[in-house]
Amino acid sequence: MARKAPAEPSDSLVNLGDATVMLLESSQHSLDVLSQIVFGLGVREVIRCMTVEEADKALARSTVDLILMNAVLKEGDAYEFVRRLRRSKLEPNCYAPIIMTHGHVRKRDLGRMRDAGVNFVIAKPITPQVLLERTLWIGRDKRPFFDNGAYVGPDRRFKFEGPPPGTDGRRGADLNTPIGEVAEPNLSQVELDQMLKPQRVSL
Amino acid sequence: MKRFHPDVRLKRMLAAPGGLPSSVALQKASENLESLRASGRDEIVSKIAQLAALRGQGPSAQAAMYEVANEIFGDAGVFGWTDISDVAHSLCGVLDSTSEMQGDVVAVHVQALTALSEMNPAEDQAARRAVVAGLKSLARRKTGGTAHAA
Repeated sequence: MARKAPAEPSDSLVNLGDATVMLLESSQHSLDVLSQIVFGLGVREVIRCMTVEEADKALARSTVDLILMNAVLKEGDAYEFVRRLRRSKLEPNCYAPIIMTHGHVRKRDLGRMRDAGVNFVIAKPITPQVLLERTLWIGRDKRPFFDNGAYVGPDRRFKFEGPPPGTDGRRGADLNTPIGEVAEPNLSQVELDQMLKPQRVSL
Repeated sequence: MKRFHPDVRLKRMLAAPGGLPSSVALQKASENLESLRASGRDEIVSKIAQLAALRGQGPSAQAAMYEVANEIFGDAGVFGWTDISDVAHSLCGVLDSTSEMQGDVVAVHVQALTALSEMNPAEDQAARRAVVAGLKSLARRKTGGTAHAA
């Protein structure tokens, strides 16, 4: 919504001045809205597309750092576009983060949205706050890319809580030993930091 | 199966020093959006007129109506016109819930969108909320509860 957005708690710096962002939307007005948001966030170069064909041509000639696209396009299939791009081997664009926006989601599209290979899905209406948060989140995202033939894209699991109870899991890294009840108090943040960031100590 | 971490330039940019404080960036983005408010209103009025014209074409226009209603939902929400956005979303649910065009429910939604777009958003808040609530209730009854809320 076009109202004054609250500041980020830490007021962290956003460094998007050198980013090239591709916008793929279904109307000129929607492109204008997205353009104004990303320009405000500090982006200086925007590639505007209204069809999959225009987007394909743009990706063939330019390197893009982020793709913001609508799930519903007037010409072309947005999900198929993402699937094709991820499989295209057109580096580095085939690995470009993709944020897909959607309004009302057709029941038949729910699975396609999950399996297309986008990094994030944002429900409309789009706000600068949400777009910035998701962009920053992508910057911190540690999820790996998967290519298993049927799916190419970022790991679809945001949170891994182990295989279902009573199963051994499908992956080599899955634990098949039941995890018992908590026996000791949780580690403090300092203790966690020390485990994750070993530091030199003088004895 | 391949599992890997590709080099993503955006991550390096975001981790690099410099840039805008996020509060400044958000303020600028909001100001930029404000500059589109008047044209946004014109756009929505035009799309509501498109909906009304498509409704006259009967069931063959159902897919096109869904697309236009979906655009109204997103466009109106950006500028905080939540009642128009809600009605458009409800209409999307009606149009998506059945392959058979529910002419009377669709007509009521289009009439409501027209009325809401002609009213001053600052006025008649209670009446506007009642219109939206009534439409959602009607849509749920007509679609057997499959036209879900936003």
